[in-house]
Amino acid sequence: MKLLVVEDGDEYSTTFARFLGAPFEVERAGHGAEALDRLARAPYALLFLDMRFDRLDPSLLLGDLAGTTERFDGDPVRARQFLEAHQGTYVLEAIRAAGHRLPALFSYDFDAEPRRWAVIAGRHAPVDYLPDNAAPSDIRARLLRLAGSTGR
Amino acid sequence: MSPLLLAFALAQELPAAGLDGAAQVFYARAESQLVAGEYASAAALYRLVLGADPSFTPASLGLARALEAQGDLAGAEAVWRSLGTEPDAVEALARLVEPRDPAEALRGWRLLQSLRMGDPVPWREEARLLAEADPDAAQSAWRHHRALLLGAEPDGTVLAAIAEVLVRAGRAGEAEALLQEVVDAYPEGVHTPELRRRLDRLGVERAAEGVGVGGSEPLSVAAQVRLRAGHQRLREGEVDGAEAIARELVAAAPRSAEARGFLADVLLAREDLGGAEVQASLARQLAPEEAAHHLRLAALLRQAYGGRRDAEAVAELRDAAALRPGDAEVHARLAEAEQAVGAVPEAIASWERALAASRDPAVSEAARTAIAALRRAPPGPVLLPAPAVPPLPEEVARPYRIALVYVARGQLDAARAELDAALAVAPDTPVLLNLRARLLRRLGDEAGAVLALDRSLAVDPTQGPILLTRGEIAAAAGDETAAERWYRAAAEHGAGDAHYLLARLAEGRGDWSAVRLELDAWSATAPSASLYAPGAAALRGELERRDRRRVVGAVLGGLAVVGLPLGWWIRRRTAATLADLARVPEVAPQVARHLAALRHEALKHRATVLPEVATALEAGDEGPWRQWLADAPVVIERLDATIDALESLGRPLRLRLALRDTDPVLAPLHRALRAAARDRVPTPGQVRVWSQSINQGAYAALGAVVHGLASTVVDPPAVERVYARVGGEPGFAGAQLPELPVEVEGTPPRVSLFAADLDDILANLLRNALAAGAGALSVRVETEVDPITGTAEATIRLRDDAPGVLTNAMIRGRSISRGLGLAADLVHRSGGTLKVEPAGEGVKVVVVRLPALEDR
Repeated sequence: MKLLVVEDGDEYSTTFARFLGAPFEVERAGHGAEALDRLARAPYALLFLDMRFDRLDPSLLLGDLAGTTERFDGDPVRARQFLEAHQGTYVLEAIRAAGHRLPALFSYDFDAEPRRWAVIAGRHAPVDYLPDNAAPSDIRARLLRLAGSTGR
Repeated sequence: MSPLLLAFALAQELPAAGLDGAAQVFYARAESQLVAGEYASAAALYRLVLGADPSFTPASLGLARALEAQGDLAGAEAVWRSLGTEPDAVEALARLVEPRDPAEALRGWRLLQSLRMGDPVPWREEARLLAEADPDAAQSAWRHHRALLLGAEPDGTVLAAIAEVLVRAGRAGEAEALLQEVVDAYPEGVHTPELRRRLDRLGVERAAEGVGVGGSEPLSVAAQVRLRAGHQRLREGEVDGAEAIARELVAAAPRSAEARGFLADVLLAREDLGGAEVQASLARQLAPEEAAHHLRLAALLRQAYGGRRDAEAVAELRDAAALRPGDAEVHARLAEAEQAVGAVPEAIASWERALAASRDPAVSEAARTAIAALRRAPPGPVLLPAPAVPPLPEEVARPYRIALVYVARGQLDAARAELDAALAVAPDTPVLLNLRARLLRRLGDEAGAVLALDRSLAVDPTQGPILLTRGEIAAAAGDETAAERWYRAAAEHGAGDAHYLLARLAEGRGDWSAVRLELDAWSATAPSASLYAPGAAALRGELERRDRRRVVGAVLGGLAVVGLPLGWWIRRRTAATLADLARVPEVAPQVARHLAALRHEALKHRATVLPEVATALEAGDEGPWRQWLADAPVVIERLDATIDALESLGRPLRLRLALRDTDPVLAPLHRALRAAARDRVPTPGQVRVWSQSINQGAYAALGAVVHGLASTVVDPPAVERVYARVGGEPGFAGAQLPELPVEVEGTPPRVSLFAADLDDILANLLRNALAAGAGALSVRVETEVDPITGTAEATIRLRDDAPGVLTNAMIRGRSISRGLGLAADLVHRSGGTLKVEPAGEGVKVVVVRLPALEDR
């Protein structure tokens, strides 16, 4: 089961490689464009998304930088920080817009934000999330369940 | 007396002797009619006199006065002009023509300066007339006026007028010097209070010129990041690095209050109090509406000047309290400073405000204690009953008593002079000699003190307390043999405390049996309030410990076993917790930042593998366990650093934190991590317990603390409370302020912002609108959702009709009022935005968007 991990570092892909084991085959994309490229070239069963991408070259961030800059009173730095902080959702937005409907799992604890989760789940299903201190076994269980369902 | 006889009698005393009899009677009658206010009659009589003798000047003068009094100014003027250089006529004419022709009036007064040489009035009048047009000439005339008064008080009204003209001409310094000269010369003068008031005002205006008003420069986002880094370095003790950042920020933004304030903090850490004060003062001038700058400056003033500038610190703290009226700590600091300057009623009021605002039991307790102490009435003066037989003759007793009063007031030289006078009369009086010895010791003359004591003891060798003092002097000089001799003599003469000092000497020799004997003697003979009681108890304890060690060492071991848990239990029961620290608004941002970093950087990415470690151990695989052991020191180091930083935050707040040992959130985390990092293979069950404690218990609890700290609900009470506070500010005293309707759409949003910051944002916006003359205000709060990220924003719309133009370009270019700029800074720092939207003719809406959180 091919799992595409999209993260700006390598913490998740390294941990998954160490702990998830079969049937998962983990590949990593460092940013949204790379994820789109991989999805265009090969089928994946699951998508795992980090939320914050603050180590990424800003030119590789997805999202409308000009519009966000205007939203933030003309401040491009804050606009970039906003895109970094929510990059996972922008990546998923782009993936869905490209027609990929594979189940996605966010590494972001939406337990505290049910209202926000309802917006995202309504827009991007099938999708689920992990509490951010989830152990690899939790992640494994959640991925397996997501692969066989349509998300929450 | 008949009118005729009266007139005759008057005529004998007046310069009317040259008149014939009838004219004299008419003149006397005219004068009396003038005095009686019968001006027409008086004028007729004067004319009769002048008919008899046209050259009789007093009658002409009288006629002119009578005519003037009747309103016949032209007639009066004609009479006075006919009198030429007659001084009274010149003076009267000058006064009459002044409204119409001040120049002629001036000529008249100048003529009078010659006609009435030595009279100060014409000079004063010249000064008065010239004050507006020629203040220099007016000053000169006024100085003649003052000189002719021969030390009497000059006319302050004219002086004040001259000073006012000088001030208007930009010569305030000259005006101040002129006023000061007169105030100094006539401190009790009739005009002096008014002149002093004007002088004070000039001083205030001069000082005000040096006060920078507003204009703090906002830091760019990059600079704010640098500032945060600088604060972090300062907290970590990297003062050099912090100073480099502070100076870089000040160089880039010299009018930034934040940068100046941070540099002040750095310089204070360097103990460069002068430099810190300069920077703190600049920060306060640049942003006087920021309470933190007032607090910083007040703390510096109190710390650096040993109380000399406490009054200025009080003024700063009062400003801070006005800006942060709900902050108990600020009121408490103000109360302490007011106590220090003796402002007792004000201190009580401040403590009461602290008590009302306090949520911290320690502050509340301090406030209650201080209020009780400040209100406690002292007992009345205590007078000793007179002895049956006076111990000293009065010629000795009086200077002795005076010397005692001087000693009590710390005026030692004066006391010594009085005492010497007493000793000259009675040189061998022990009480005088003993006081002299006390005095000389306080003055640093140890040898002189010893001589006085020895002389006193030679007169009366039975003075136990003096013998004790003598022994202490010997002990302090290192002469234990002499000390023991003196102590022994003191003990013999009733000074029970001498036994304790003998016991200490015995302890130094290691003679514990002597220690026991002397302590027993001390217990039997020492005064009930002996100042050596604690020392004696400690020494007794040591003695008993030695006994116990020798006889029942095993019991002592048992006691230690009991004592340690007891100490731990006491510590656990009394130490403050993370929750206590989190309740202090000033440190809330730092606490939240530390805890969030701990969660994200230490726990989330490293401790979550523990269940996998447990599973691997069950399968006999120690590999993951070894891997965790390699990572654990990083996690523990991070936790230790976080706890150290939190405890550092608590220390200035007088919070004794023992977070590793007693905190219900951090202590279990600390214990679990320590246990999980031991190089001893655990059971899978143990690892799961640790994981539960770290990944579920502590992680969730820390998250709840962070959430609670860094969020605030925007609801009508929050807005109304701030509006009431702003309306109560001195700037709006007496103003009729508009009502503020506050409308919330849906559930009031919770924003990702510290409560104090939300208050500041709202206060600045509301103050700005009111100051701009808004007659109608309203606030509407909504929640807006971003469809991609799902994030919500609280939108606060402040609608007002204040005149003036405000555009988004002006906000971005900072061509805005100070209050709006401050609000914009706070909003931006909180991840929000501030814009303006037109809303019809003469109405605008300032829109603040802040990241909204969801309630937990």
